[in-house]
Amino acid sequence: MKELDRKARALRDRAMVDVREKADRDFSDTRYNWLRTRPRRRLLVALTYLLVLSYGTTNYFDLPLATLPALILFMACIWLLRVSVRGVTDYPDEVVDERMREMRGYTYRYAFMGVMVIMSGYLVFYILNQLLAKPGYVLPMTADQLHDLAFVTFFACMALPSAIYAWNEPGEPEAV
Amino acid sequence: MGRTKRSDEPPVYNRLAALRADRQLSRQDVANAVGVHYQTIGYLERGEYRPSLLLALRISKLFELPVEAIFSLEPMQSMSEQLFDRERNAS
Repeated sequence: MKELDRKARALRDRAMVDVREKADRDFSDTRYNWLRTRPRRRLLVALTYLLVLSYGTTNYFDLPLATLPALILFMACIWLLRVSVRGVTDYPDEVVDERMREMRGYTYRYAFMGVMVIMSGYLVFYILNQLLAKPGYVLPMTADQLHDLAFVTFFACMALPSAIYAWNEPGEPEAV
Repeated sequence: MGRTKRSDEPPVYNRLAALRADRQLSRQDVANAVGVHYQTIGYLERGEYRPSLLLALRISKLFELPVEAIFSLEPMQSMSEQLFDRERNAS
């Protein structure tokens, strides 16, 4: 048992070393500094949510040729959002400093509230749709459209922590 | 007693930038010495972040100065003004 504990600890320590190295690389990376100003980050957040809406709209009107580019661009925006905040929202507490931890606490508090609002909205819409599913009524949304709306909800929630962090983070100072 | 919103809290003034320039240290040097990211030092200098007690004590230890010589709740006089005032008062 002790041997197993020792091996588990060694594995965790090795994984932590890898995470630290990755975090060091991300935190000192200067390649994307052009993106790390407040106006550009905010523009990126707006673009990300515009793409979520585009994905939903093109899906609703059954336009697969427009849906796929919207989805690809959305994924690119998610990646850029993460880069713009140096991935701070995803790293464990051990590798981020006190200011980042404070910002992250604030971010996750609002992200949780945002996720609850988005999910509640979806749930209310879903229940209303089911209640109206009686003979003689025309459903506001078909099962396929509800399915697409679930994806829109998921994408909106997925982008939320990085989006809130990026929206509130001021422009980065120089290292010198 | 009601809780205060983050934005309503009084700012913490500091002379970190002047001290750093005086000692010819970069933000990265200070950050490495006190165990934070260089951005945090930049945000401190710009008054966009209030340090924890631990960080304030580490910074004061690095510059070998008391905490109140670096951080203040009142706007701080520049070091040259303070020196000039002291000389004027002495004479």
